[in-house]
Amino acid sequence: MDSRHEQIRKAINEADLKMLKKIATTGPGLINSDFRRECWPLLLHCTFDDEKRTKGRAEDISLKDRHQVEADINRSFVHFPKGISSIEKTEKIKQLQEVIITVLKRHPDISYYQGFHDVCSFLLLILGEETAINVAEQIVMGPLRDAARESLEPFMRNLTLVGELVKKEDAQLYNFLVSSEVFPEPISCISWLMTWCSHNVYDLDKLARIFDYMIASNAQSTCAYFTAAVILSRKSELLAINDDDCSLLHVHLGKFPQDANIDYLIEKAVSLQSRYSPEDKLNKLFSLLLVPKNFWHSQIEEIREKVSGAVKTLGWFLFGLQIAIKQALDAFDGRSLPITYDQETEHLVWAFLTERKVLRKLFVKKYNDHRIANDTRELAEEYEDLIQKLLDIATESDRQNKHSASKSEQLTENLKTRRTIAGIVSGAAIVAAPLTSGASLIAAALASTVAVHANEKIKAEAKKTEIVVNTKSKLIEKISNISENVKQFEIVWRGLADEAVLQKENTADDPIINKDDLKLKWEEMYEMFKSYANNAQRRLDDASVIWIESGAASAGKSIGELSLIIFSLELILSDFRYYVTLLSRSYMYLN
Amino acid sequence: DHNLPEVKEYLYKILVIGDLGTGKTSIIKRYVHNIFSMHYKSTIGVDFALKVLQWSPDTVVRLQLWDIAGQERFGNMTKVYYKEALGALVVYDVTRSSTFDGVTKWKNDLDQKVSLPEAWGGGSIPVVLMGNKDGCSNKSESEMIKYCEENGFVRWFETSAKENHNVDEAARYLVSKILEIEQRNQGRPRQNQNGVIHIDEDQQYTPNSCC
Repeated sequence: MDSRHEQIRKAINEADLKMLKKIATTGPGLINSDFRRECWPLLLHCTFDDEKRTKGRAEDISLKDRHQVEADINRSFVHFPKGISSIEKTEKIKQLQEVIITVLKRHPDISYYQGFHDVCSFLLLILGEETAINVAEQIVMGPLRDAARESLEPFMRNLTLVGELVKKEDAQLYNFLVSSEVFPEPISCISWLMTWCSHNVYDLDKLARIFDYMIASNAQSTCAYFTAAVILSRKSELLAINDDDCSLLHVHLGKFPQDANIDYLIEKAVSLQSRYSPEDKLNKLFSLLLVPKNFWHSQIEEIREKVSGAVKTLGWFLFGLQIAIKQALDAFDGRSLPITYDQETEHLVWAFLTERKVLRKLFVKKYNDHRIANDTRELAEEYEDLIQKLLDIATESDRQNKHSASKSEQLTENLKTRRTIAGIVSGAAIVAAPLTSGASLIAAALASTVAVHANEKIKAEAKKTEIVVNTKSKLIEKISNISENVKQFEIVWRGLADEAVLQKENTADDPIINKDDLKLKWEEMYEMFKSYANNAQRRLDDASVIWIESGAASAGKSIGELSLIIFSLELILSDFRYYVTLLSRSYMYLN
Repeated sequence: DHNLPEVKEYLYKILVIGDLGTGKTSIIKRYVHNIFSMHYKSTIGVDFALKVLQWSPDTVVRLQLWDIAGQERFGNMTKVYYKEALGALVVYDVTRSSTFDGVTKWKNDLDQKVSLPEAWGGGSIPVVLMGNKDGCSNKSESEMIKYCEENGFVRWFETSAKENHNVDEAARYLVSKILEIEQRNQGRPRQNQNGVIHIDEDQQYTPNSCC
């Protein structure tokens, strides 16, 4: 047997998602439909639950969507499968309708879009109806969520990203496409992005390879990287089109090169992603937090055995903070610190605990090492705005911190029946809270340093570019988004704490907690977490655009870096908090 | 070569819009390639086609046809669709009256988002209304003429992409309207038409259109 077959089998048996992802994004991918039927649901974290199995009926969705779906499915299965009989086709169309309607019924907030039927018809052919429903559901609730919103506006940024990536890689091609009015918004490629090329690629095997990659990376922007790779690979062909025939370029660009070498294009897209995607920087970290399901459980057991309550709490704190600091440093100067409980990190942690100024000094030093030549007077003024925003966030965050901590204590109080573990968990939650304000303070410190530095340079020649202004205003918008998000977390957190209180009251007389109820809550929690992850994804995409744009001006670059640090920290902290919450819930449930 | 006339070449961007499943793609395939099939996929976003017309011995018209998906979300997606369009075909299905209701909506959308170049004095672009498919219209000719007048369509055609009925005529009428406007504004180039108008002085143009 082929060693790749064995590798995939082994990864499936061990639920080794990391390995599966690696296999899916390299070489011939997941090889065949049998493997894909097993791997795609795994990679997308599909859950199989009998209660969800009821299929939707046409009446379950709005009349408007129903007409649209009907019109689209009747125009499906045009290019594949090859040589399908009309009876088979009628049967397939019926199944396709069930797939689409079931997904729409389960998620009423999804707006059906033309092109979703292309995704579903491909999945149906590869996976069969049952699995196609689950996979389509995860895709449209995950990486393709923005395509299925009421407005396409949020999704359009993927087109811009395609342009930005080509610009970064090949200025000549980019300029040519701009002068031909194809860029900056290559709308002829919108169907590639919205259907992961299932509208455009007519060979099922090639399409399956593309889906291996899209599903394994499970991120909205992946298809933009892939599209950019395709455009870049067609450079000579595109440049050969006569300048005078720019009207042909739209036609040409929108046609997917059917004979393309997909393995090569995926390789190219992965390389673009590794160079330009801020997601990739965070992926390692996320994999630490997200992947090992048993990790948290075994941690609890280990900690319970080994150390007393106070040390346990500190352990959690150290772990979270260490990650935060590592990521901040990484984002700042690209230096990689190993995540271990080493001396240096401990110093940082204690410095942070005892005197925030020490940490601030560290960052000031880092910044000075990194100084940038062309700061301007205008920039200084703009930075001051920024600082004000950051300080506002820090203040708000401090306030929330206090609130959060008091809620956490309440939670502890109400979980006394599970004293040992709840102590650890809420302790962790309490220490997680100050991290938020800590992060904001770090950001504020950074920002003020930037401003001080910028002020020093006031005499330097003022040269304000539009890009800087744009970047700035975008960043300010993002920052207010962050502040909005912080508020949302607080609401979620408060809701959970209240719920815990309620549950305690409800079950005060009954030593056995209502497990069905808890299970339901657990599911809600999971949904919430998923939607949070989607939000985070979008913000990362934003960051990616900013990050790329920031290359335009060195001053803009520093803003971009700053924003990345803020994003990273925020993501880490919120994830950490969520895990703490999940942990406390799961422990209640397990008991 | 003094015997050859000076060939004027125009490039016009034409929008083809209308509710879903009214046959926009079929009309374009019929017009550009003179083919018809029952098996066209739904259009996602936008498709493009190019048609070159030897309008007269000294005039070549190149039509860039923008086939825009029927689902509303795509129509609202971006102004890029409408940018610098000089004419439009609004398509409805005579056998489905709901698609005729959509016509007013599409026309309003056009009026809001696109107008003739400022150098030409602005104003609405010419729009031809097409009642497509081989069914029977429940509207009389005089009713339709009145409707076009009231709603600012330059003309109405009952067409069938399947039977190859009136498709050429409708497109031809639209082009003649645009050329009329162009000629009224002779010498006043459209602005920002970076490389769009080409006046080929030395070469005889060989049309590569198939019909």
